[in-house]
Amino acid sequence: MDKFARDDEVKLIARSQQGDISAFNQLVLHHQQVVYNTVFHLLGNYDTAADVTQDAFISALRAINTYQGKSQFRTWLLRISTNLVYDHWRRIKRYPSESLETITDEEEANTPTLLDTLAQTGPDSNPEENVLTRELQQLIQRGLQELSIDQRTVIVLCDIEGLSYEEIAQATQTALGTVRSRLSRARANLRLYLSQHKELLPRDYRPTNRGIDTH
Amino acid sequence: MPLHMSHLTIGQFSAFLDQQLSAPEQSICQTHLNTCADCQQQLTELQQTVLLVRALPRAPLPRSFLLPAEALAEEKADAPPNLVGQAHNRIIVFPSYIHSTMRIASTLVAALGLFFILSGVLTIALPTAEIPLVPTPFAIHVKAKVPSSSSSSSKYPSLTRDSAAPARFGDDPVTTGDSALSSTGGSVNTHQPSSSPNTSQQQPPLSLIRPFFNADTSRGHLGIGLLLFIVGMVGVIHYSLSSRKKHDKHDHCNR
Repeated sequence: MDKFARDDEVKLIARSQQGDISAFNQLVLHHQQVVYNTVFHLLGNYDTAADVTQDAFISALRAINTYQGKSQFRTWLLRISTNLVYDHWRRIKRYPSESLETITDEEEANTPTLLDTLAQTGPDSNPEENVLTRELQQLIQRGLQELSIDQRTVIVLCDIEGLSYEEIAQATQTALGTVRSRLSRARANLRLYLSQHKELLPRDYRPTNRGIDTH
Repeated sequence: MPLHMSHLTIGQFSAFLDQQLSAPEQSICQTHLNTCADCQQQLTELQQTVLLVRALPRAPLPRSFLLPAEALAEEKADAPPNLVGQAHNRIIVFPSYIHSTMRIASTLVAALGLFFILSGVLTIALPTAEIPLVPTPFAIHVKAKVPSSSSSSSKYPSLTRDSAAPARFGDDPVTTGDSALSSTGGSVNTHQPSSSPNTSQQQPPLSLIRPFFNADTSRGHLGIGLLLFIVGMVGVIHYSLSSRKKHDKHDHCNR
């Protein structure tokens, strides 16, 4: 927490708990990227992620008085967000035909946008590398969607958002051992998925015959 | 095979990368990795996978998620109905001991109703049998309104039964009621003849209902019994269902 010092956050939370909407909006401004990014990688759909993110902040405003500072505010927000993602996922499982059609249509409609927006790395490289990067990002995102919702949540929170095991346990309301086992299985499953598409992986990332010293 | 020579598990690979293993376990794994090419390769591939995921760019925000100032006003506007709802629930939901007490009371009422039904049925089925009726508050109340039978009934209950015999054997229960009413209202009729048609129009419903719940008659016993039994059973069912719902809710919350 660099510019946005923890003391400032505590003051803003206190003001929000007293009904100051502008203070709460400052918290939204600071955390909306983290929340949206997490929800997007969990759902794989921009529009749904935006709706769920908005709902998460509304839910957070409703429950702001229940926040007691036992965990970081970011962790608390992510817990609300992941709960809403789980709710959305349960609805999808309950009405699979309707939701599948929706997702397919949206995916087809958003494919160029998805590629454009995901590929923000390597702008100075040649077009071929850029295309490869886009495809690679899309491949990883698809690999994430292949995981179970529990495994996906843990790997997104850990490897994309950089939460510690303890923070993930708080955000997902699970035990530390559960986080550890879900993360290891998520990484192993994703590795298996990527190994089936070696042609899309960059040379540096392709598995070598001999191991590399991990230190 | 010594411990440091066994291959790493999936969990150990992941925890080793994040340095989440205990110090002794971390060193054991490291020792094994230095000598096992297969584990080294697996660890490298896992590390590459993690690096790929970490290299994913942040999804650009499609819009701002700032909440409008009205959002708080809407939340406040929503609050009163919720509070009202909670207060409403507090009024409706009784403590569990009241539930159990009411259930027991309902059972007793239903049992009392059954007793009355049985006594009524027995007196109808066995018209010649000498079954003394149990003196009840109803009977005393009715008798107090009939001055002619009050003196004898206090001393000889069997005589009272005889006086009510025509009604008990189903001759015409209405006549007893009518006679009682006419005897009480006789003086009124003499003084106010103009009001007699009104009273005679109002009396029939009472005269129909009263003998049906007259404890001196077998039909009265059946009527009282049925009423008590129905009320008791409704109470038993209601409080059993509500307690079951309460248990289900409790189980659901515990889950």
